[in-house]
Amino acid sequence: MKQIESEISEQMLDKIISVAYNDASIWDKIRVMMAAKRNKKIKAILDSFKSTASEVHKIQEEVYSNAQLHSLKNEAIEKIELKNNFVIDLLNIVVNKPIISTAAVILLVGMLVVSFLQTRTVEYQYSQTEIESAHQKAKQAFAIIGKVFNDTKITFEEEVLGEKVGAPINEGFDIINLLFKEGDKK
Amino acid sequence: MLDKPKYKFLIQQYKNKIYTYSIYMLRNKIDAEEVTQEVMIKIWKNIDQVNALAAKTWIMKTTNNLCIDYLRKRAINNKREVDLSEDFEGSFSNKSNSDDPSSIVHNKMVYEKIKEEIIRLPENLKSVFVMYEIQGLKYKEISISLKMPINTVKVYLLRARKNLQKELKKYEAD
Repeated sequence: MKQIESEISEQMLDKIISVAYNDASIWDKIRVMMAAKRNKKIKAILDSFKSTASEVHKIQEEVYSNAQLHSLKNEAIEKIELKNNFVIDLLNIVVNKPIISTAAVILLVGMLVVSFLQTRTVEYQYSQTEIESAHQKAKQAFAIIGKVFNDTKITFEEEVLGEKVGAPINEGFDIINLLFKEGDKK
Repeated sequence: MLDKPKYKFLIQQYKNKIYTYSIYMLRNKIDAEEVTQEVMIKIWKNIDQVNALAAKTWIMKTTNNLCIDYLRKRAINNKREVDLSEDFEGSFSNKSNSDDPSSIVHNKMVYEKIKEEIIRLPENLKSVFVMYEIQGLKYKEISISLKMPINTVKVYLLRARKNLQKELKKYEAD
């Protein structure tokens, strides 16, 4: 068989196998059938593969019985159910059930709003005496600030500008005038 | 758990496929049962993410991955390869439609021999062969399940068929 197969091209052998297993294209089927009619060797190979393919196609799936299925439920799934904890269950409910997650969001927002309203700062109520006292103190403070500004203005105008800045400038001009007068005399 | 309709549907649809594939890959009925249980547990854990109408490739991929893990563990632990003749007697269901005793015996022998030779195939060829020939998956489904290109699936299938034929010819010659 090996020798016979080596006389046939690899491509033809592949087509023969596909035809034998019934998954070749219609053109390949025609080609192989025609080649098998002309060549006994090809027919022998084809029949051999067809016989094997026929047996292979009789093989059925093995059956996993219901008894085995129920033992799975009793043993394995109890372990899974024990492993699941409250947090995972809660997350599953919130994520997978839109109505429940919407209700949870509304509840959360409601709780936040209520807690915000309850913790508003309480306004302190001042007495009339306290208000008048504060007013007086404010007036005194402003008066002090005003005096400081006035003193600063006087100091700046009279002492700084007049004495420190203006006087030297005037002296300078006097010197210049004197020099001009002396120059005219000469 | 088995009361949940979606889960029940998936298990009833695919339990035999999972079990059959595991038996052929692991050559051991006990390991095949364990893998089948583990796959079912994985399906249960991922039940909400699994699309019931497109679950086949995911389930077969999971089964294949678990089988590979088992085979690796077995190789690491240097477990003795299970003697096929001991393990498979009674592992596979025997079906015969003929009434003639000699015919029944002959058919059974050929049937069992073919199954044995399928199991002896190299892992990469066997996985493709079992999915295509026994479980009826399409090229694209096998490609997705085994994470290989479609052309590779076709090449492996062809090689598996040639290998099987070669081994059966040896058996007939003997």
